[in-house]
Amino acid sequence: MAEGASEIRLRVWKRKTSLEEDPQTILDAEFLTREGAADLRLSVYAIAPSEVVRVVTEHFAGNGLDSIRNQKDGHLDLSTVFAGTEEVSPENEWFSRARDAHRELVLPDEASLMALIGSLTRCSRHPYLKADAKAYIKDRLDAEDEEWKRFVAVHRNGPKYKRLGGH
Amino acid sequence: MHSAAKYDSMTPANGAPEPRRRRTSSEVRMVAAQKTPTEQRGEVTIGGVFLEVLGWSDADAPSPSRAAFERMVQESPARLAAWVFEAALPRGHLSHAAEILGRGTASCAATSGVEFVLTRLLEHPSPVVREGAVYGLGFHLSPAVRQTLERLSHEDPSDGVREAAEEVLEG
Repeated sequence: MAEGASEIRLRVWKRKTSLEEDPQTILDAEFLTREGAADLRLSVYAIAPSEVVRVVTEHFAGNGLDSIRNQKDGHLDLSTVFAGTEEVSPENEWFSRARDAHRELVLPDEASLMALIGSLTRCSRHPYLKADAKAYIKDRLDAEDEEWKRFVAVHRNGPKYKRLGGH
Repeated sequence: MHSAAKYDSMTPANGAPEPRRRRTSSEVRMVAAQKTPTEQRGEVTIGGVFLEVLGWSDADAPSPSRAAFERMVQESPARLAAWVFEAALPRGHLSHAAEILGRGTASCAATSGVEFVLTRLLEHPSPVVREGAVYGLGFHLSPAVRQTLERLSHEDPSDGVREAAEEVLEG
């Protein structure tokens, strides 16, 4: 889909409870690289709100996560609190929509990241429900979607996602 | 259900990162009181945790990160269990360490030590820590763990933790 004003920059949250914590804990729980450094290239998806179920489900599956998690309170749209450089960063070898929608929001330093964390309460939130994800996977498998067929056949987590889709 | 006093000395109320501490003898005795130390062919057991705890020192600790926790759970799960048990990691790190500990020991034959460490963490005052412990326990769903998570899914003060417990129980 073409980029436009209706697009959000969806950040997939690792924990449901992070926003109940102080800024340093939010940083530690949500914004560190795997190696433990402050992440100054924030992974987000440039998508329409209507694509949240599809792209977050593809994110979980394509990134090797062994389960899908509810986020009733919603994943966060960072577009309203970030005004810096954004880079296209294709990521996700299994699903083309998630790959094409992936972006990195580039921050100059950790102070900027902490400032962004301090403004997260202003972000709009987009709920993601496991029931919707299961229905989406079922729909894709019923439709014999090539990407999902390949994923469930080849990926180590394929059988789990196949079960989630009721197949 | 949350006996915060157990953790108050470990988690400053002002939210500042907790400094790493050296274990005290009273904490070691508390572990020893749980079970007699035994070690079963390198599997994670209460005994394994206990033995590692005795040998623990700040000088041994790598910088906390998900990558470090994942390496540790492969190379020495009992050592990671001891680190999580100590609960001296900053809360965000502790949440991930708890989940990685549970996941990384899912295929071990004897994991009562892991269940013990993660179940104890459900009493931590931080919701993000309790959430991580719930995800870790999701890989060790013994009848006792199920019962604990069932209770948590109704009684935890955090919506997110209750939801996580429900989710884990649903599978």
